[in-house]
Amino acid sequence: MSLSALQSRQLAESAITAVLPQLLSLPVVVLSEGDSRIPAAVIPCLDGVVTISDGRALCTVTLRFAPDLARAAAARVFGHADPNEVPAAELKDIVGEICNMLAGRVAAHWISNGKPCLLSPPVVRIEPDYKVDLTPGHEDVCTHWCCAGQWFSLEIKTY
Amino acid sequence: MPPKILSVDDSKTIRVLLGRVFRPFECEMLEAANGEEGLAVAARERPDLIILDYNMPVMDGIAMLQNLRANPELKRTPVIMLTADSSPEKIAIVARLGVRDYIIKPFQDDKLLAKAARLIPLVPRA
Repeated sequence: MSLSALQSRQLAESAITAVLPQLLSLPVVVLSEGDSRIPAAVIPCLDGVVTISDGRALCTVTLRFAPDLARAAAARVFGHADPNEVPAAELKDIVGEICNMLAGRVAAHWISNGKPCLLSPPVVRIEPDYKVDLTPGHEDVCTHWCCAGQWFSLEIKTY
Repeated sequence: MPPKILSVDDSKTIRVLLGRVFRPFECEMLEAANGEEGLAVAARERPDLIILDYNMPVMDGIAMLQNLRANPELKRTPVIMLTADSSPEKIAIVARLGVRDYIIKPFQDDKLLAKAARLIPLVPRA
């Protein structure tokens, strides 16, 4: 059972709006294609990836945070006055945990359709030169967002 | 003696958020980053409530629960599962192991407090 682009988008939107505002107490805004807040240049990112599987991979959920957003979120949760003082371990922890929660929401789609599945542990990595790919057929599984003035994205890829 | 609450989760984010939720109440918060650590802390501190994640490295929540239930001194400790995983199979497994409640992350503070208050006394700090 694969997801259509529309289903992926709806799942992404419902997961983000259920998780981020509650966890960070910050509003989020979904960005339309062409919004100037979607970075056009190559930028560094913190990527959290969770694979949903039923023995074989069904889907990957990838959360991409601009580093400033990850620092702001971690400073808020861990109580640092200066976001630049957040240790790398805390940045990875918060991105991984948010990705885990989002993937849990996405997995609920399969579970509610009678398909048991498992979540992998989140893998967080630094992507030093990420470039948003606006090629038609690619971006239909990637939603772009803004939180606290910073861009982030959620990509759901089904197999 | 204020109740002791043990949070077992590999994510520091969750442990910190749980500490914040219970800070206004007379209780002692304990932490562990996996089931193995959780068992050691539970054996030493005898918590009144355990809030337990499912997927963790080293020892997961199910294995920790099985060990808890096999220990005569800890087997009656109430446990609330707090996890991103909403699989009915897992919910059934932990229910068989006597888990009192199951909360899907992210938790709402008031709902978690309401569930905890059914299991331990939660008195606001003076």
